[in-house]
Amino acid sequence: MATDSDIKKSNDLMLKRKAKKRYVSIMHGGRDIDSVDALTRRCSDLFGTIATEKAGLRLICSDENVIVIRCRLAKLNEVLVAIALTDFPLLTLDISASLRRLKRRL
Amino acid sequence: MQGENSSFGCRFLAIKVQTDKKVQAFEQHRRLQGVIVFHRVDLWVRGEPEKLSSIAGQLGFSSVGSCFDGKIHENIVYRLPGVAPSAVRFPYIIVSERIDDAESADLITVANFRHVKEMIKKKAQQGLGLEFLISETRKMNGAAVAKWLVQIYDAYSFCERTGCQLILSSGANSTLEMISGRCFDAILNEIGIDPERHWQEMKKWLQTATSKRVMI
Repeated sequence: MATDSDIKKSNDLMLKRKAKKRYVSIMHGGRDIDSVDALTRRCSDLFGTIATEKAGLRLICSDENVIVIRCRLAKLNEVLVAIALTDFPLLTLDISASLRRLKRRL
Repeated sequence: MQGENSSFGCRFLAIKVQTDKKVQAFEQHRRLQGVIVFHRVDLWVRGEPEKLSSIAGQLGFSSVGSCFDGKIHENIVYRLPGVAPSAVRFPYIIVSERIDDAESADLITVANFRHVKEMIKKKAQQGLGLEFLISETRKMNGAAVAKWLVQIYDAYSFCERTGCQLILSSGANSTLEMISGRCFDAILNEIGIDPERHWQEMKKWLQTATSKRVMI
């Protein structure tokens, strides 16, 4: 039977956890850096700079016309909206919790 | 001969029932696993139909809408400006950009709902689809996009009241401009619409709209 102190402890442990992340593969029609720049700009235009920073957008790797970005799970919806509404043509191909699985599916 | 025909018919029916049961069991299994089965549709995409029908599945769409180019492809609902002169072999819907055509068309593409709301109120019939294109928002700034999202929610509540169907389409002119199913869900969530319910309603609406037309 879990006591109140156990629950408190588990809550504290939850707070110390790393934020969950998601890897998103995106097809684009330009240079990879330009695509990420356009996405970051659109995200901060739509949701504000604080939300964009919290999303933790990072370019992980890029292939010919496919890039893989990483973002926090809590802000995944905002990032997906920004991808869809960016003027620079970007097309979300897949989303995964691990880079290895995403690469396998690509 | 007659006996052979009837036995063939029985066997065909048995196979069909078996397949239906398998599909039902598969969907039931996925639901029990916590997977939500969506039948997403993007009714406006321009591009090579062969490419479209193959890429649609990858992006999470069960079917896409496109202009008719003379060839019939799987998973494509064709957009025609009027009723086909004779029975055809493909599913299609009648589309228009003029609100005056509300009585004859299945779907009307709306650019600004606030400007045409009063006209639509007078002319809209139950089952009419009001289509909004996401591609229009790409050139807008943040404030204009926010207004657009609120406008879509207004249109959604209008559709709920009047029995019309809200349709969100990508408005893509190429495959690269397409929007994936997961992004559609994110946009619907941002607007304040439950994606699961929206796609279920869309599926029903599309079935009703296409079944109205004569097909061989």
